[in-house]
Amino acid sequence: MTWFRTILRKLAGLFVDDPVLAAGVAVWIALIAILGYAAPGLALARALALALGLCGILTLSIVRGAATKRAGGATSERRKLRRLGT
Amino acid sequence: MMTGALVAVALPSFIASLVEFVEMLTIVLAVGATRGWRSALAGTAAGIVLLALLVAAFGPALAYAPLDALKIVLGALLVFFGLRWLRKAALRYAGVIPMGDEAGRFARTASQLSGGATPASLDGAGALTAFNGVVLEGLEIVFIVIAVGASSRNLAVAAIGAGIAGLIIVALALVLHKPLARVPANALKFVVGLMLSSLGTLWLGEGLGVAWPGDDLSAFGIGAAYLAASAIGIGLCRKRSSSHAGSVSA
Repeated sequence: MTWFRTILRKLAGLFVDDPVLAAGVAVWIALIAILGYAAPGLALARALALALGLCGILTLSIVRGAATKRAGGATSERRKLRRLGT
Repeated sequence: MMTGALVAVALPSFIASLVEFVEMLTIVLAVGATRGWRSALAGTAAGIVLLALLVAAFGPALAYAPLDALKIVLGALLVFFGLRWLRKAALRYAGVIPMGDEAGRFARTASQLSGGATPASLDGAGALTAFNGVVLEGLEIVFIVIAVGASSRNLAVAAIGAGIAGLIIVALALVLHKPLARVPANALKFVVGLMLSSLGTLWLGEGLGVAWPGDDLSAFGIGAAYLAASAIGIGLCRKRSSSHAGSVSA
């Protein structure tokens, strides 16, 4: 059962590492799909919006990942200082 | 055009599988060295059978699915998968997370399994570790083969790309008998991330009915855009980390 859960977690982990990136990508794809129904004539504009939007989300996710890592480091550093009584 | 399509299918499958087979091999080698080769090979064989069953079960079934729906679902999954690899590789290049270390992985697995080794007989813990390693790392290969193969209706070509990668890694393992620490795993992951994200975006767009300028050739443009986006992300991370280091030291 534990093994099955590990497999399920691994399967989910194949696609979702940063939940914000995954959510951003999902929302963007949904928006482009909705735009397809609302304005089917804008096929080229939707192509550019799809690609450039996903690129923007990727850049934001990379920057956010680094900021989160740095904030985590800073937090653990503060915790260490508190333990030392400084 | 036909050759280009085959390369677009076989190449991502080959490179991605190469990276995953290296990680798989490290675990199997660690099991073999500490718990005996019989356990390592038994666990590996069981894992490979399970993965082959997954490909055989899902791969041909997808051939009957409507192509547009398939392109939307598998294209979106490829985008999620590819961007995850791209993000991780970019963070490694930016120095935010450490580079992958096969020698370290080998040492960790070996130390977890060390003690009470019985090289002559079949060892349950060793076989299970090898099985888990093969299945967990192999799931990524299975997904790539199925997604790339089914979206392009070229499952056999994608499977052949992965198979060749597997043969190369097994041959190297037989010759070297140690983890392949010199494989530039991060660079390969970055390239695969670019390829899978580009192909995923292309197929997803086709499924959604967008008009790509230049049709399939626009995959190169999409790849260039992802490369630029990653480079900007890496540059911003480096800039911020150097200014952060400056403010801490000041």
